[in-house]
Parts: sequence; structure tokens; C-alpha cells
Amino acid sequence: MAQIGSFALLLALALAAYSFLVGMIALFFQSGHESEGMDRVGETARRAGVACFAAVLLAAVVLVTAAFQNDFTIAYIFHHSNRDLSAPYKFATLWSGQEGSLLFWSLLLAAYGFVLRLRYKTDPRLFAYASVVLAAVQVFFLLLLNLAANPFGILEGPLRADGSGLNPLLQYPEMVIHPPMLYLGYVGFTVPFAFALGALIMKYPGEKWIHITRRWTMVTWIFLTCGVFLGAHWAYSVLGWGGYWGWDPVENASLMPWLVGTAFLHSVMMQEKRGMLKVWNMWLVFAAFWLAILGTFLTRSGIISSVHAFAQSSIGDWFAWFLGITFVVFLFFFIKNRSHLKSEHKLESLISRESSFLFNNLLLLLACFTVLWGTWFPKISEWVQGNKVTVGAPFYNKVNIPVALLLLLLTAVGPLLAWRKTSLESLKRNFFWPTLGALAVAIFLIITPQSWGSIFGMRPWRDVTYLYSLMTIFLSALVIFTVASEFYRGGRVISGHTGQGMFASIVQLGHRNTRRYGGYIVHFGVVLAMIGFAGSAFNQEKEADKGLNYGDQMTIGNYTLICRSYTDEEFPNYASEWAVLDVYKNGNKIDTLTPERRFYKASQQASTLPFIRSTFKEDLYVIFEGQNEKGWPIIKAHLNPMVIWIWIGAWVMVLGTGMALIPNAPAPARVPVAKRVAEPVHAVTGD
Amino acid sequence: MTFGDGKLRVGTAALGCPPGAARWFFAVCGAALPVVCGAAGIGRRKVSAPHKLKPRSLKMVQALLLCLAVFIFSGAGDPATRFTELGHQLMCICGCNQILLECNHVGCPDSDGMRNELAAQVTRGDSDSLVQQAFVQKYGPTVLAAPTTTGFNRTAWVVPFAALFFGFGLVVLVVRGWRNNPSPTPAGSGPSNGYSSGLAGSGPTGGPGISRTELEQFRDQADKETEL
Repeated sequence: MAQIGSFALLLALALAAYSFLVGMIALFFQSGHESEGMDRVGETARRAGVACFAAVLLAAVVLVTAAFQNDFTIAYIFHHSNRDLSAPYKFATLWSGQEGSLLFWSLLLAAYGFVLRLRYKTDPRLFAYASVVLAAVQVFFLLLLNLAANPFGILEGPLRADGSGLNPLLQYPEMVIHPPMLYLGYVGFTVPFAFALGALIMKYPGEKWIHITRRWTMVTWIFLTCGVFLGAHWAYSVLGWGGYWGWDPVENASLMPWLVGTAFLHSVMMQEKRGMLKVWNMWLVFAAFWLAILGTFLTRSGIISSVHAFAQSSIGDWFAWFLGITFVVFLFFFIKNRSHLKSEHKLESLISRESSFLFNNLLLLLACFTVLWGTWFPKISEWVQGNKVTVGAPFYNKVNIPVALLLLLLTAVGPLLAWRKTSLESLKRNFFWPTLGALAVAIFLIITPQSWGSIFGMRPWRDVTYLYSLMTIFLSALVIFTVASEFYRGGRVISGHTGQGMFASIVQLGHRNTRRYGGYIVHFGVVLAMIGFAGSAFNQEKEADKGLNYGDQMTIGNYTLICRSYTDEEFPNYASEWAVLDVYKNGNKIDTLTPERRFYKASQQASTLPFIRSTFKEDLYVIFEGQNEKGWPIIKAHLNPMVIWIWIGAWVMVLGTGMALIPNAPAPARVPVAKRVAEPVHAVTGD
Repeated sequence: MTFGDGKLRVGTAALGCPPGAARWFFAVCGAALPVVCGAAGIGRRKVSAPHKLKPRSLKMVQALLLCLAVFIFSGAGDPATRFTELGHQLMCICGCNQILLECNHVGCPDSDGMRNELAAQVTRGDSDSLVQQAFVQKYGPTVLAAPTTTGFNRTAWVVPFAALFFGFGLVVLVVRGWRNNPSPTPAGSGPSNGYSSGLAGSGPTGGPGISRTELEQFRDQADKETEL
């Protein structure tokens, strides 16, 4: 089994190297004049890239099969699986450890390359360049797999009867879906980078490459978004990860490319619409790719300590070299061909869509820089002062919350600004009602009695965290009202032309320009998530540290928990113990909770699974901490307001991006171009 | 990302301000006030424009700033609040990378002891800096959840804000440069869609004289061709 896997990896390396070298030679000799012979050579390089996918897939299948067959002769399987591990986690062995996850990375890269090479007819020359760049990245990962982190290494010493098992913290359903999503996001940024570098090298005429790149980036961005939020949900649902967001270096590593990718998805519109920011976009694409690799470097080199990181290994040096080489290559071609990237237009007014994108990019990159700086500062401090310092949540919150609030403000303002120039009159007209609505929401939250619930009766003058929360909700409401007004105005125009009802008109509006209105839905999702984050200012916690005897009760918020029983049970892979608690609200029993602790036999480690009762208003988060000396369960309860809105926001973001990827439905009558630009709020097409 | 811990806080620590923040705040306010007032025309003898504020407004602005300062920097004395504030400025040292008061994993060997130490020091009435020093001496500098504002650690705080001002300045400079040297409008484009005018210009995909209808067709074609 191990030999087949190793052979598949070697074959994949040979094919990737062929695809890269021969593809490069073909492009070099094609550049001067048409050459049929070179076209055929280039075609062999493309096919080698396609075949490379098959070889990497074979290696991955072999590894998963070995996990299912409990082949503990393979060291990787021994360290990351055991006989009683359930089937989904055995499948997830592919990305549970260092070597396997690198193979998985390589597989995803090969899969992206496979799709790209099959679609080469869209623009054969540009795709040929992109294919060569992808092959180069693939060669790096396959070299790593073959020389430094081979997942098919044989276990030394006597053959073991059972494996060490999977880390208990990883034995959670999201282990099956979170890493693939995150990796699809990380790896996906290679594709826009490949197109960008290809377009730069060949001095691609026109903006078609940016259309192609934008779509790939949207696909990548949504995978990364899913990955980030799934990870947050997982970290919230299992104790030990530090809550849904703990500003851990590895969490930060996923946030950085996300922020840059988000910046690119906005600034790319400047290039598409106005031929501006060509240099900027080129660097944004590169930065997103580079930061994704940097995140991998952080996770795997052991250079920065993290609860999420893989074990320290020597592959950090490989990544450091790779990061350096890609930077030098990109810089070289940028300097060589930068004259090709001159803007076709320039900004005409500060109150315009263009300037809102500029400031949007500035803030997103500032947030990214702060995260990068905070992540690296402990290391920098060690180099300069000789001792490490901690850069934790207080630092990030202080710097990034104001930035996030400014971004929310721009999210509300930006879409209502016209390209080129917006009159103050138009601004007043468009913002009056949304601002009034948002103010009404804020005042309502201030004047309502606190007995209504956690977020009511906000007193922003009592604590700056309350002030931040109130501002977040105010700005979120502003975004929601501006988005709603955009749909309403567009719907009204269509309704006026077609005589349809408002709802049908709004649906048609969305079909006619999926990208624009899908984007608004994404904004809506973002503000829902922000409202969820804002709720954390009102978290409460209570602990029955002396234990709850049967019939004892504890109260948190409006909930009363009464201990009913305590039990345990044996499973093949783990032993479980849990408390059974009845939950009462206003004297009525509303639920029964079973917070749990597990003890995994193979790894001899424990894991704590809180019971989370989610409502739109708050989460009742109950932890079973163990038993006291009398055998009574020790219970800790938290009341976390609004958390569910984070997950709902994530779903809405996915929905919006999905909508934005759908091709536009044809419009029966096109609105004149001049009108579309002059009064974008009435437009039904355009971004 | 968290917005707080659900506990009421006032004072410099409510903002999570590092030591010396009050001094900085007043220094900045003191420096900014004349600039702000000058820009708004406050305090000038000759007030020509109707929107400029009268000298009486200067006192109102000063009173407002004073109220703000009192709100922000009024001290928080009760032990429970101080315990919460300080507990959120310290890390659990077990390796979980969590804030001391948010460390929630079961069986943590360190957090209970550290919380007890903190409670004892707060009850004893030790000052914030004394408590922090005691923890740093015992557990090392990594026990502080954020860098201090002394020595090299100050750069951790300064650099993001410097980047913000630098970036903001850069954007303003770029925008100004663009506005002072606007690019010539490409022939035949008119005050319409920028995308179309870009195509109609001397760009690589189109030449002068291409009609708008053709441009729209090209645009549709490009959209179709680039569907995934």
C-alpha cells in the first residue's frame, strides 16, 4: 500500500515538473510567432497537468484506504488513527496531520488545475500561462511531499496492534468539513494568482483576465468564508479552542487572506468599470496568495505557538524559501512589465463609488496589517528584546473594532454612491430614511428596560464595550436599511415598467444583476455576523463549583437549571459521562440539557462538549466540568447573547455569494448607459 | 472578536487603556483643541462666515471634552470590577492561549490558582501596576495579554496607527494627484459608463470611433465568455 502511494507521488512530481518546464518552454518559443509545433508541445504540458491530478488523487485514495484498513505499518496512519475511530474521522485522516494535509493541499491544487486545464478554450494562451504557474506551485508541494513530509513513511520498530488515535479535540463533526473548506480557500487563491502572474508576464491585452480572476476569487472567497466560520463554530462548540474567535495565530492566518481577498473583490470593480487600480489589484491578488502560504508556514513551522498548530518540523524552511522565491519572481515581472498597468481613468470626486472603494481597501488592508503585525510581534520582540510577549485579544480588539466600525459605515454608504461623482442632494435623499431608521433602532435599544433581555436597555455611557456594541448595531441597521432601500428602488423601477408586484419585481431585479444584488446580500450577512459579535459585550457566566445534588438548582438570566441526574456510558472509542439538567424559564420547563465529557481510550485524553441551547436572542451554554468528591456534577453555565446571528450571517453570506456567481438573466430592455452611471440607485443593472 | 465580558467598567481600564493613557489623552486633547477650534473658526474675533462658531461655543466644546474626560478617566474602585478588568489583561499560562478569566477548559492546572492569586491581591488593595508586576515576576512577560506601552513594546501599539495615518495620507495624496491631473477623456466616450469609455479609448481592446452599441455587445460577449 505504502509503495503504491509513494510511487503515485513520484509520478505526480514528474508530471507536474513536465507540465511546468515544457509548458514554459512552449510559451517562450510561442511568444515571438505562431508555431504549430510549439502548440503541440504546449498541449502535452497541459495534458501532463491533467494527468498529475489523477496521480495525486491515487495517492490520496491510497492514504484513505490505508486508514480504513488500519494499516499501521504506515507511520502517518498509526499516529492519526485507531481501529475504533468512526468512519468519518478515518476519512478525515487525510487532513488530520502534517503530511496528510500537505497531500490534501496538493490534491486540491491539482483539482483546481484540472478544472482550469479543461476550460482552456476560454482563452488558450492566458490559460496556458496560468497552467504553468499552477504547475510550478504544484511542483513545490510535491517536492515537499516526496522529500520532506512523505505521508507513506513506514513505521519503525515492531508492528503495533492499534494506532495512537486522533486528538480528542479533533473528534467533532466539523473535522470532516472545516479543513476541506479552509484548504479550498487557501489553495484557491493560487488560481487568481496564476492568472494575474500569467497576465502580467504576457502583458495581457484588455480586462478579460480580471473577469476570469474575479469569478475564481469569488469561489475561493466563499470557501474560505465557510472554512473560517465553520472553524469558529467548532471552536465555540468544543472547549479548549478558546471560543469562536480567540485571535490565535492560526485563526489569524485564515483571516489575513480573507481580508485581502475581500479587498480585491471590491477593488476589482474599479478595474472592470473604470480601468483603474491595475497595479493595486495585481498586488492584492499576489498578497492573498502569499498570505495563504504564509498562514501555512505559520501553522506548520512551529515558529509561533498556537493551540491549532501542527507539530514543529523542518518544513518551515521550505515554505520560507518558497515565499521568498514567489515574491522575487512576482516583483521581477512586475518591474519588467509595470508600464502595461497604467490606469485608464482617474478619480474625479471624493464623493464617489471609486473613493469609497479606496477607503474600503485601506481599512481592510489596515485590519490585515494589524493582524499580521500582532501575529508576528511576539517573534519580533524575541529577536529585538530577547523575550517573548503576548499579543492577545485586548490588542486586536482595541485596534480592529474601530476599523470594523468604519468598514460598516462604508458598507452602508458605498453602495449608494454613484461612479465618478455623487451630488450631495442625492446623498441626502438616499440616506435620510435609512439613517432615521437606524437612529430609531439605537434609541429603542437605549430606552427599553433591561429586563427585556441582554441587549435591551443598553447604556453606552456606562462602558465603552456597550458603546461599541450600540454603534455596531446602529451601523448594522444603517446597512440593512440602505440595502433594503436599494432593493426597493430597483424593484419599484421594474414594477413600474412591467406592472408586476413588488416582490416579483425584486426577484427579477436580483436575476438581472446577480452580482450586484448578491453582493448586497453578502453585506447583509456580514452585518448579521457583526450583530452576533456585538452581543458578546453582554455575556454572563455562573458556576456551581460545589456541585449540584439531584434537585439542586442554579439560575442564570431568566433560566433556572435543575439537576435531574448524572450518568455515564461506554462506547468503543471513548467513555462518556454527562449530567441531565432540566431548564425552566418563567416557571415552565422548556428543555432538557445533557452537557458531556468524553474520555478517549486510544489517546488517553479527555474532551468537554458543552450543551448549547440556541435561540435568536441568546445561547444557554452549559458545561459539565466533572464531579465533586460526593459525585455531584459541577456545572458552569454561560449566557451568550446573539451568537446564533453569527452563524446565520455566515449562511446569508454563502447565499449571497452563490447568487452573485449565477449568470445574469437577460433584461428585456437595457437601461441607457448614461442613465445607469448618473443615477445608480435607480439602476437595475451594473454593479 | 469580543466586545467585552459583560461586566460594567469605567475608567481608563474600561477602555483597556495602557498605563499612562490618561496623560496621553490630555496631551492629545490639549494639542488638538486649538487645531480643531482654529479649523472651525472658534475663538476668532472676526467671524465672517455664518456657520462659524462664536467664542461661547469654545467653552461648550471645552466643557464637552472635560465631561468626556471625566467619563473616561473616572476611577473604578470596587474589587469585583478591578478583578474583572485585571483578569482580562492577563493570560492563562497553561498553554491554552486564553485570557485568564475566559480560560474555560476543564481541568486547567493553572487558571484556578492564578485567579485566586489575583483575587487576593485585589482584595489586599494592591495597585493595578503592582498586580501586573507581581504576575510578570512570577510567570514571565507572556502573562500579560497585550504588550505594555514601555520600551520596544510601545511599537506594537504605535505601528498600526502609524500605518493607518500613512495609508490615509497616501490615499489622500493619490486622490489629490488624480484630481489635479485628470486623465484626458477618451474620444467618443462622453460622460457615460466608465467601463465603456475605457474600451472606447486608446486601450488595447478598442480604438477610437467604436459605437456604444458595439461596446455593449463586446461587454456582453466578454461576460458570456468568462462564465465559469
